[in-house]
Amino acid sequence: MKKLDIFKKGLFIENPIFVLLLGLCSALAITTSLTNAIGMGMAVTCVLIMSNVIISLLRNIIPNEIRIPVFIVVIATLVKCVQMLMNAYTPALYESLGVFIPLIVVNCIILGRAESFASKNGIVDSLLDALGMGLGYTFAVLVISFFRELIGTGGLSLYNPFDASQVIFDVKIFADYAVSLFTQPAGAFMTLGCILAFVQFLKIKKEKKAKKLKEAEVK
Amino acid sequence: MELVSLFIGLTFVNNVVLSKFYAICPLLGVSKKPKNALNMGYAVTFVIFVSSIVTWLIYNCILVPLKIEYLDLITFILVIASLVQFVEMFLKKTSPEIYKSMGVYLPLITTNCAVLGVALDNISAGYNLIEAAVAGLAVSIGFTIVIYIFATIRERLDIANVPESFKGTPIALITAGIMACAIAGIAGLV
Amino acid sequence: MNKIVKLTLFLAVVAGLSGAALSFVYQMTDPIIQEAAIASEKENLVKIYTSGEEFKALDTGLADYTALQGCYEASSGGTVKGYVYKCSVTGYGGASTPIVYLVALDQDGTYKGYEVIDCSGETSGFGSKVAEDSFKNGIVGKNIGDSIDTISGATISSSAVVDGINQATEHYNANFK
Repeated sequence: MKKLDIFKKGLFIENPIFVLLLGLCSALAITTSLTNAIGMGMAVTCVLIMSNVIISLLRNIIPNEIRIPVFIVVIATLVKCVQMLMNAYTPALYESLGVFIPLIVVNCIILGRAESFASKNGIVDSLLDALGMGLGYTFAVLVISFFRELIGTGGLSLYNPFDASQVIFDVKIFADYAVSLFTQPAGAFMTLGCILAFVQFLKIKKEKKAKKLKEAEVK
Repeated sequence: MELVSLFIGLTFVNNVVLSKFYAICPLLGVSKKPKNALNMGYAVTFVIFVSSIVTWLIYNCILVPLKIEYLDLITFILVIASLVQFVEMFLKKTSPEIYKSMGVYLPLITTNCAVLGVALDNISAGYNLIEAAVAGLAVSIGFTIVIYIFATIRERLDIANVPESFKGTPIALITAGIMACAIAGIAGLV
Repeated sequence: MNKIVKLTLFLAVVAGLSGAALSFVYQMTDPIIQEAAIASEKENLVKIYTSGEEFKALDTGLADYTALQGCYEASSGGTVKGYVYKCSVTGYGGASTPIVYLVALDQDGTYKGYEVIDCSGETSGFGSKVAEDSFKNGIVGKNIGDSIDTISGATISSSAVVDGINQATEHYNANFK
């Protein structure tokens, strides 16, 4: 049960983007289409899993004074490997994600999990934590890109990340009424702002409910 | 003349914060007080300016001749991390007062996307050394301007009557969206 | 002091290991990346050499010419038919959105083909004319080295293109003629 909790925590309660507000740069930049979001989600999840496992393996040998530089070197190596692999096997995705693949290095989620979780916990727990956080990130960017692509282009499309010419689906719902602002930076900020407001709304509602229950108990 | 248009282009038109989403974390985290925002801006300006020169030199004078360009990411991030460390030590020794007021934000600069982003952009755009230095300066001044304006707006937002669900980060993001609209309005300038 | 040495050694070992891992992945992926780059170019190359020629990327002395980005040798059954140059020149759109095009210099002494890949930075209706057939017809079929007319009304864009073609010609004369 506890293992499941570690995994679930990253998905919802401590969702890196919607709750912890980490790694927003890439989440805002690449969410112009579902394809990009899935590609970025996969890349971040891969790096997160590998870095958490490696750091959890090394946690007892790394001297405490230089742990941050060591983490950074490990993460930078992993990111560069992912970047080269994507350039080789998913060239279209590599092109459209551009500089945001190398920028995964400075994505606060990865260093944050290494520092606050993997350096203190065993391999299995770290792996589950990374999986939860990575999928939580992917889920979040998918939600943002769903709204941005739907409103910005009036339709939704998904391409096979390994072969850009292979269309999985591509539907136009209201192309004539698309608000192209939403594919632009301004739309990204506003979409995320509204989603965060919704998350906050749910939180406030829950708190009020809990308060009411408590008051009822007192009475 | 080209340097001037490069400078204006990167400071305003293609402002890294509002058009490329670099450095959103410090924008949301640090920009609660205008004075802190300015201090952060100064520190970032120094780090970006120096790191864009140093990384350019390392890439073109060491990595390219040795044909080990694939080590770019790891060397850049180490250069940035040590530079930040250097700034921290320098400030601690020379002006403890400034160090005290921005001590918390300094380590954060390492994970500021703008620093690494500018270094990588300089390489992929094929700038020469002078252009890279100008780009570094322009980007960081653009960052400082945005983070300062944003902080002053947020100060007003604190006392404004905002719907409960939108309080805090959501309204800040929507404000950033409106600022991005304003920046997009001058897109034809350069 | 002992501690500092230990820490430095540890960092050095980590850095060494990561360098080794990176060079391993680099060696694995580099050929695939190169191949993919040629494959995406080939789409455009076959528009010029249409009868199933083979293409090979060359890079002899290209670095001395600012406009030349790549050079492809087209051959059929072992005999070289001509050379296709990929050029990137700064037009009206500035250095950030250059005009990118291919120009082919055939072994029979003429310009064999001209294909614009990207001129999205040029003003539509003016600079964008460099991608139109009327301009293309002024290049294709001419003898190598003949002067090429620029377009009035799109002088900056078209003379940038002509400058690139001249650089390709120079490189061709120096290396392949």
